[in-house]
Amino acid sequence: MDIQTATLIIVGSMLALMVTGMPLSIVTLTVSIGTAVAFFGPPGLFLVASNAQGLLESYPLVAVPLFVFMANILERSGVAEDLFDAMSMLAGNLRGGVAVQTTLVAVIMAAMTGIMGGEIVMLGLIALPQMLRLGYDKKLAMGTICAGGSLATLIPPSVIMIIYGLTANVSISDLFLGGFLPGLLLASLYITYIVIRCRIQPHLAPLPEGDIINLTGAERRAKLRGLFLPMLVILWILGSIYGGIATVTEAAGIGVFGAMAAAYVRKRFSWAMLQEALRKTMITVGTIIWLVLGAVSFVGIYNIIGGNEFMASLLRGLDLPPLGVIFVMMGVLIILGTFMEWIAIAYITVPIFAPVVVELGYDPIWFGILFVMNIQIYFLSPPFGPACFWLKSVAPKDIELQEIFMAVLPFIALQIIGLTLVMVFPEIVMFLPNLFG
Amino acid sequence: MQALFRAVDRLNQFIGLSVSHLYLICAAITAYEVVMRYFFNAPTQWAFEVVMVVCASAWVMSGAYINMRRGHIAITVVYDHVSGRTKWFLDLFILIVTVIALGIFMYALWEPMVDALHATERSGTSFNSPEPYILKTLLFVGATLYFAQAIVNLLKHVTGHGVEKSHEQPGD
Repeated sequence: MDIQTATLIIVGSMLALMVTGMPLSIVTLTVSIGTAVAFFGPPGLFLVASNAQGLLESYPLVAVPLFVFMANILERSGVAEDLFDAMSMLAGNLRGGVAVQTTLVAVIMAAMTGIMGGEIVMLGLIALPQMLRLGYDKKLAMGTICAGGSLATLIPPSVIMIIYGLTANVSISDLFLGGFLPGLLLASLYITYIVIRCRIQPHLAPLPEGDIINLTGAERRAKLRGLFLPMLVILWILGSIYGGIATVTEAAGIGVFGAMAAAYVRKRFSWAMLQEALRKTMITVGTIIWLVLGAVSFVGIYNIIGGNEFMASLLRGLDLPPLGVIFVMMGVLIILGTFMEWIAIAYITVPIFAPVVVELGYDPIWFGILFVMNIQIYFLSPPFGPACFWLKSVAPKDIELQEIFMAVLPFIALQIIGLTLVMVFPEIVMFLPNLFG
Repeated sequence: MQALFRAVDRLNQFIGLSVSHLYLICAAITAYEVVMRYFFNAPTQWAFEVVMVVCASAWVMSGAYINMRRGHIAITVVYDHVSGRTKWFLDLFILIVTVIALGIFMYALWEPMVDALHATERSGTSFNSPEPYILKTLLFVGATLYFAQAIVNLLKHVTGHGVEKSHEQPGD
């Protein structure tokens, strides 16, 4: 069987199995077993096994559960409330101030955690009630939370970058540096949009009635103290990576204790809280790892039968300028994003895309950031955008999922603007890695 | 039959919740290694491999617990819109494929594991632990637990004891 037919059959059977509602990990496992046996007979099964076994020996992957664990502790530590309170100082008197404040909190939270789900839930619990109470437009409020919360994927540390770094074989700490400016760029786009929109349509964001406007010096200092712990946690993690003290995985490990210390200072630390954080971590990571095991088994087999080479040759054969090929790749990511989990997308597409990107003369770090920005758009996009589902899970009962999807649309447009800027000006990504790398 | 279902459920619940503590150990060992290396200039030789083994144990062993709660990520657009009867058949199909796929996966993992045992395959680092062998065994055990849970889920489905689906968001 030639590789073209094989690819069609593989994609077809994968889609058919997925549609039944079968867990993705089982879909990829089944297809990889089928492919292995079809091409190599029963001995092909050992290829599936060795791919899966190899996965467990990748040390950087250990950073994923540690970052998830750390985020779960931070979520329960209450630092987010303090942070929100402290940020009210910066934006108190501005029209749309609470939305701006929410975005700033999101940026700082993003620099502490690498996981989006927890951040959106936290903002949904803290910032949404505040904005609704002040009479903010629901859509503006919800869009800000979803867009701000998903910055966690772009501002280091980031679990998606760890997976990209592993699959594309590039430095994870360089990726972290590369994501920093694009993350701030998106945040400033969001803030500019909020401020301008609230100026044009003042009814979207009523000003608070005098309660935070006049603060004494002592009150200000008390509020600012809320910034102290988060800054310390950020310094602790990023400082240990870029100060040459620890690897990314090790930084995640000591980050866990930094988060525990923060929770202890906030008097939220308890054995029961730790248990709950561990259970949540186990569930998140357990679902991810079986998904990855399936994807890795599949990719390994597909590569052996010449699939990756075939897909890469298709991309090379496109009669397009280099940037055009990048556009095609992003189109593929967007299509896959509508029905697949990001981690499976990363494991399947990156080994095919990354070598082609390098051949075209681009930096795989730059492409990694584009990849992450694409995934971020998919996080918000209807009909499956997970960010919207997370917000729905903590939003007041009368808010429909439909409304949230409408709310994120302007922010998706801003993300596309950000993505285009990063495509046209790769320096936005490469400036920091070149400076420190 | 009921007793067997309960036993497997409980076993996997117990294992899932127990192994979650391994992440704490994992974090502790990593932090210990950093402290020893940076402050005492005495890096350990074992932390790297031990962390990998501890972490791998936690994640392969939790698959069964998640399967028990039907928490694995799936695309449910079509599934959510079909009648109860069609759902039942879809579930049956999914469960049968799951059992077969995991069964074959176990078979595929078995021989490399036995080979690694006979050759007492070692990592070849200065610590030279039997890490490759341990990881292969862990993966096999994890797959077996997952397989056992899949069979129980299938039997429950056929005998009419439905499985409560998890509504917990797994998080990214």
